[in-house]
Amino acid sequence: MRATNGRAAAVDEVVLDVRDLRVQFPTRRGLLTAVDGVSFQVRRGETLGLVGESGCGKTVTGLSILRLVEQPGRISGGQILFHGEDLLAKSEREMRRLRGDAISMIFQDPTVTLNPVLRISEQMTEVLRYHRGMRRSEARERCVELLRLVGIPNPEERLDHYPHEFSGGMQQRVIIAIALALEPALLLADEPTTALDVTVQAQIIDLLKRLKRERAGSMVLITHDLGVVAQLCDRVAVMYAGSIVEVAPLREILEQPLHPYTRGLLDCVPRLDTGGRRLRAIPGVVPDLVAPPRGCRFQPRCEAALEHCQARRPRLVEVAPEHFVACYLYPQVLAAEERSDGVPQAVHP
Amino acid sequence: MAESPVAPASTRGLPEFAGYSVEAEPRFAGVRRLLGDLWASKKGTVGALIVLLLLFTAAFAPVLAPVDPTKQSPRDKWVPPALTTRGSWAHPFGTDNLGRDVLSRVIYGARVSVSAGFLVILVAATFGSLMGALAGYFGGLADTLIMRLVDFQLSFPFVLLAIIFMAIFGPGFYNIVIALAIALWVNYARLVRGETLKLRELEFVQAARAIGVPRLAIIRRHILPNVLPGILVLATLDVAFVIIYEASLSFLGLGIQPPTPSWGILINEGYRYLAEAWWMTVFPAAAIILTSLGINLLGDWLRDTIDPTLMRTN
Amino acid sequence: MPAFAGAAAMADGHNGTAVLEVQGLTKHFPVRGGLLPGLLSERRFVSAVDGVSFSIGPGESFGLVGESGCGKSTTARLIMRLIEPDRGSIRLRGVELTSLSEAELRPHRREMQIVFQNPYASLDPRMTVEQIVAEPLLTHHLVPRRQVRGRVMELLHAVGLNPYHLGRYPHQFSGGQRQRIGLARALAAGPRLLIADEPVSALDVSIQAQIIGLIQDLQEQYHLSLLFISHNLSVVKYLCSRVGVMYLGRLVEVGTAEEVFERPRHPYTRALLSAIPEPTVEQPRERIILSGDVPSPVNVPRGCRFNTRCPYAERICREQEPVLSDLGHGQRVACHLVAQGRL
Repeated sequence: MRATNGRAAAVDEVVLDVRDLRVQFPTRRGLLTAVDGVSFQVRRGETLGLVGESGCGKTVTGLSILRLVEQPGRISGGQILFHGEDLLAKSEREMRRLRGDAISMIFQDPTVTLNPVLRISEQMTEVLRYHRGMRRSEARERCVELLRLVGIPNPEERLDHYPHEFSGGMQQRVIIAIALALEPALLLADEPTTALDVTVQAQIIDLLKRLKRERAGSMVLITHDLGVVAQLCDRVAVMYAGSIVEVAPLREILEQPLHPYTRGLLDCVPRLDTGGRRLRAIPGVVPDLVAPPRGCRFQPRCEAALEHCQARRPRLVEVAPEHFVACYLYPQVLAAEERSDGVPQAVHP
Repeated sequence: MAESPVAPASTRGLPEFAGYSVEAEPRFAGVRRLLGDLWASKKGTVGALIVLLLLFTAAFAPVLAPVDPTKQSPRDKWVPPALTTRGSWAHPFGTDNLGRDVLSRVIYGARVSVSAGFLVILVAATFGSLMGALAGYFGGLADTLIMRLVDFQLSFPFVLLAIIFMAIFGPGFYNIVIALAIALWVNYARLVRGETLKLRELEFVQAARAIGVPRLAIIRRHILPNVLPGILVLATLDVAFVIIYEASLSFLGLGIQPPTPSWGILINEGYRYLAEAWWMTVFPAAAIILTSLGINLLGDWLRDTIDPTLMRTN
Repeated sequence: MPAFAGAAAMADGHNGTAVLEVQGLTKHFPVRGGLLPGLLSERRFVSAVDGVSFSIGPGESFGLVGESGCGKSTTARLIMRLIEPDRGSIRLRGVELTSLSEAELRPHRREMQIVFQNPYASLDPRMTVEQIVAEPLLTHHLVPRRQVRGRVMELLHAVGLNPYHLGRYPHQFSGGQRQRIGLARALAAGPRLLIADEPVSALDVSIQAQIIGLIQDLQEQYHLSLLFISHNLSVVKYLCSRVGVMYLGRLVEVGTAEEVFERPRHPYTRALLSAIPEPTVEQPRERIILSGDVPSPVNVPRGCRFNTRCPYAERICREQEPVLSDLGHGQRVACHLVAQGRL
């Protein structure tokens, strides 16, 4: 199944190129910068994990790609290039055509994503009819296929059911089906398994794995759960307090994390298999994004903090092949800064 | 000051706090925030100013009124208000058919309205909230009895109830208060019962039960303070109702009796002479309207501001 | 499974020293169906907790795990008598709680306290931290009035909070800090048993680790028995010495943490463990993906409740409900095939 969306397929590898994204929210206490200069790329066919705890800006980043950030929040800077075109320069009408078609998004809570008073058939065929102008009967057939694809038994019958007649896991499958109906080049998944029970989560992860093999599309998986990331992602970007602190292929993030926060994150999660290991908590709390600390945002909680960390914010620098980190513990980061003398260099992790 | 124990290892989870400092929120910070919000809201500010004017007038009536409101002066019958031809600033709102100064009467009328308003609400809200909390928290028989009583009473038109009461017990200020309180307590009962049902399931109430706090103490300490915002909003809006109803009852002759100048009575006295002396009716009516408006604006703002979810976060 | 009180304690090896003994605990909630279904058909029940038995010894931490709807939170509330059990016995340090009136129960409530999952609903938003933590002290007259503040400050310090913040309101604290306040409140009463109902599930991962560490420390420091309820098995493995796995209102496996996690016997336990995604490149266990969804607790399957999803289900599983049988070393499993030695 090649991804064709009625548009000329991009020749180069990069499907999504986020450059220096900045998103801000005015609050009573001041301007809150939720996303502060985030850059990353997603290549064709790959699954990129965007990992971090609540408040780190990962969800806002995801929403920004589809320009779904709600007022009074504003995307105040940067570019989001999709197949080379800047999404931030497009009109709302153009974005509407993209959503659900070339780029789809699925969210955390299936119970509020599906409209409880409409049958599934209504909600599923809507996408096909709106974007492709399909007739109802044709759309129905396609939906039955899609339900089968995501593993729902008796799809012809269940298509006419209401959402509450499905369990949580089933609902999420339906949502995935809707998201993939038009074979999008990019799927954004925001905590797709967090609201589900463990055994159901395993089913959904399994499904996503299978779909990943069968589809040609790319995915951005937004989550706080490194275990889920380990199942699905090719590359991982770790976010903290509004910026990306480390990007690397999966194996390297898990086995050779470079940034102290990434290390801390891996160390503080209890695991089934390394019993007896003392849990090492990361001291302190996440910074206030209205008035973040000077210099590196993680520095107040970092055990390895150097003096320079309080002075300037480190930028993402490639310190090993495909492995980027924003931390002064690595001399290449300091060197890059000195070389460019503070002028931001284009980075494409 | 208790000696602090050696910090257990668990404090390794937090940055060290060397040197304790007193860090409670500055006093009344919540109130200051509220006032800040009020000032920022146009309708809130206007409403609050009107209400303040009303309270001020009621409180300082004797000082503000230029003349004794009951002083009759047949010579000055039907003097028009200032700014009209033949009017003068001696009687800014004119005089009535007995030569009494309308402005003074309107000012004193504010007293009646304010005291009626507050008394009625005090009684109705206290009694109604208590009933509602008991019904909501204990459920079962208490709930059934109280709510059936509420339903029964609600099936009667409110004004009819008040009129019947006044007809039986006679007119007068305190009778009006009782009649209106009887009519209004049911709203508080229903509101508080609903809120109590919700609160009862929240974990902090469960925690109080788990500690072993007696049920009445739970209602007093946990339930009522948390339903207070809802009550406050309802009460504010009800005050406007009470003022209007008191005026209506007095207008019908069922309420305050002359010579006490209630706004309703002023309208009662004046409406017959609308052609000859429109000011006798218009000024008291304007007072009622303005007061109502002010209270409703303030109540609206209050309702918008009060955090509905109880779970305030930073 | 013998049903006399104390049977659970004996099976778990506690023999009279148990802090908590739960036997045959049962709770069914009536379901109010729609207008007609209720009138015309028989009454339906949610079988939330059905015959649960286990015990916890002094200083021991027992983890109760399961997915949503398995009844673990309801079990906690039944033990605290925040909900009244339909049947069963709850013995706290030897005293039978189910037959006590609320007034008689009150002094015993001191000995068991609970910490809840939702940090935003577990503290009264209109009370200061001092008032919140002092409430148990005042309710049970544990310290003279003038010493209350000092005691509150000690408790706040013990949970890692600045004692001088006692004049603040809950909304001025973060989720993790609120859980600490909840713990301080629970400790104020001086309990022997601490029940923690998903205390870290609503917190960020890095804060979870802080609170888990805190609970561990407090347990040691105050010699508490801990009933830790969670759907997160990794956390339970870290904290608890014994574990009970629940499914649809019943305990399907009980044993030491090591036994249950290293050598799980019940098929559900095995599936549950295999489903956990680990942050490693190679997944350590073969993943058993269960088919279907958790059945509704209103329509509990006949026979073994797990049979509809069990890869090994046989005829007997569909007809007869298995009981928890003792496999020795305090390990109990409710499965026909395991009892027959075939799994």
